[in-house]
Amino acid sequence: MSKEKSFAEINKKIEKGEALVLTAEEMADFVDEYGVDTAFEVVDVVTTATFGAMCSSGAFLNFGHSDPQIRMGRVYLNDVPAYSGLAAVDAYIGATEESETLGAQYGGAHVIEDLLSGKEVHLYATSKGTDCYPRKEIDTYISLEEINQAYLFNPRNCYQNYWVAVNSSDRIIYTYMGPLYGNYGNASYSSAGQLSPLLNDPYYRTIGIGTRIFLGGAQGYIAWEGTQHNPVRQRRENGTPVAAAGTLAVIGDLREMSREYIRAASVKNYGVTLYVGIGIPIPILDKEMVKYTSVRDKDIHVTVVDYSGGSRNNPVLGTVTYEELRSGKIVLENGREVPTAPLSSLNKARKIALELKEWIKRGEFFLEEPVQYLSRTREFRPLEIRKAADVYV
Amino acid sequence: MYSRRVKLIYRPDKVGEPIIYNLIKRFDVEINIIHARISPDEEGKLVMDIKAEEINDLEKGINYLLMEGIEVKTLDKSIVYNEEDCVFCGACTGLCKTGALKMDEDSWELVVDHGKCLLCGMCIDACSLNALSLGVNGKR
Repeated sequence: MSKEKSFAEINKKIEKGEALVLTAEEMADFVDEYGVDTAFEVVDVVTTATFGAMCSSGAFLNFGHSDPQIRMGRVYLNDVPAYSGLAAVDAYIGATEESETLGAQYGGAHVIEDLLSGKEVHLYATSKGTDCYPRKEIDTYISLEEINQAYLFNPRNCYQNYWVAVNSSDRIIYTYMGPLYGNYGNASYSSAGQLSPLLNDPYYRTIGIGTRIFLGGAQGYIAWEGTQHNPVRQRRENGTPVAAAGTLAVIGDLREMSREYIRAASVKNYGVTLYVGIGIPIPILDKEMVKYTSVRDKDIHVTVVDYSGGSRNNPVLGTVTYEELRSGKIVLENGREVPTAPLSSLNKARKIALELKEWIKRGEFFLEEPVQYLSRTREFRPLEIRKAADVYV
Repeated sequence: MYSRRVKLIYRPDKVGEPIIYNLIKRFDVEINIIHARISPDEEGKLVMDIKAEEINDLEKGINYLLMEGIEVKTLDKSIVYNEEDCVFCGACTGLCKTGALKMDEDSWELVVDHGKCLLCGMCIDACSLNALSLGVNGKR
């Protein structure tokens, strides 16, 4: 048996229907029972997944051309503004954009979910009019079936770990991590832990630009490192970062996706966001990958942060493990016992990991070797507020 | 057996009186207190189920409370769980103080125990998918 496997070798086994595929949870049990050596010999792919609120999401739409043509200047979809500072009938509908009439009850994410549900969406656009695009206004309806193109392009998804949010103040606060009772009344966390993609390949040894993934029920791709990709976060011996670290930009055809795995959400007193389901296959190329993919919730630590101050450097209150978080309560360094609840769905993440496993077993999904790996050294820069520089070159 | 969930609001001057004792003793009703916040010289609040063999006894009991000057609100509303819209994230469970909403530890699906619900409504605020709402007779 060779010391390494290649993407090509694993794809050949997938083609023949001979690949052994396990979910990340199954892999941890398998390695416990049979050991690292056997696991490396027999397991080819480990499927990982997450289903959580991912604000930095949206869809590019190309509406097709009307007759006479219009060069859309302002675009509204069900009263939600879409960005159209692009070519004539291109627009980007951002998930968090809110309706001009309904506010945070309905936003870009809901437009995307409505399109996926097969509903008609109202399109209204205005233009200054040009010689080649004379139309100044358009008022019509579109559907996912009819529209020329629609693809999801999410600049930041699939966070490698995150934070645990608590509130030390004496009043309830409403955050993107949900409502937080005062006096450490509850703690909110958002990662699939041992099933989460980037926690099973902590140094991005198999995941990079071009990786084929499960995105919202369709086959999609990793397009780039995600915005705020922060690989230099403090890590534990097993490679897992103790807070939000790597991120992914992902892309896929909206028409092939399903409402089961793409859902709109309105977070109280915060705003609109999109729940996105992502699954990533990890090839077991060597024994290192066996170790990484067998990680368990008890070995993944995450930093608890006080969200009450609203500052860039919120106070840290120690770390806990995902095993503790899943138990329903954690004990903070200050001795406080705090009930916990997740924001991302483990139930859905498991479904995605199993579905991706089935696709691979049936020979419908092949692994793609990255054309470029994600940075492990990128520095994460803040925005400093300053005056204009005095000297111009 | 007839049962009704009620919320009682006591004026501060009534807090010292043995009203629940009298209610049980005189009207032979079964009381299950779910939530109570009663202290001297403050307005008191109490949520309870009141049960009786005969509907008449139940009505008489409630009339007695009204005669004593207690405000009685019947809690005929309940939390309505629309599983179709739920993604089983579990966000609501962190805000639920009584354990009426819990995640099943194996399936990680939401389990709703209406009997434990105090209708505080915090789960509705916590659910960003609009899967929980307040309704009458299980309807939105």
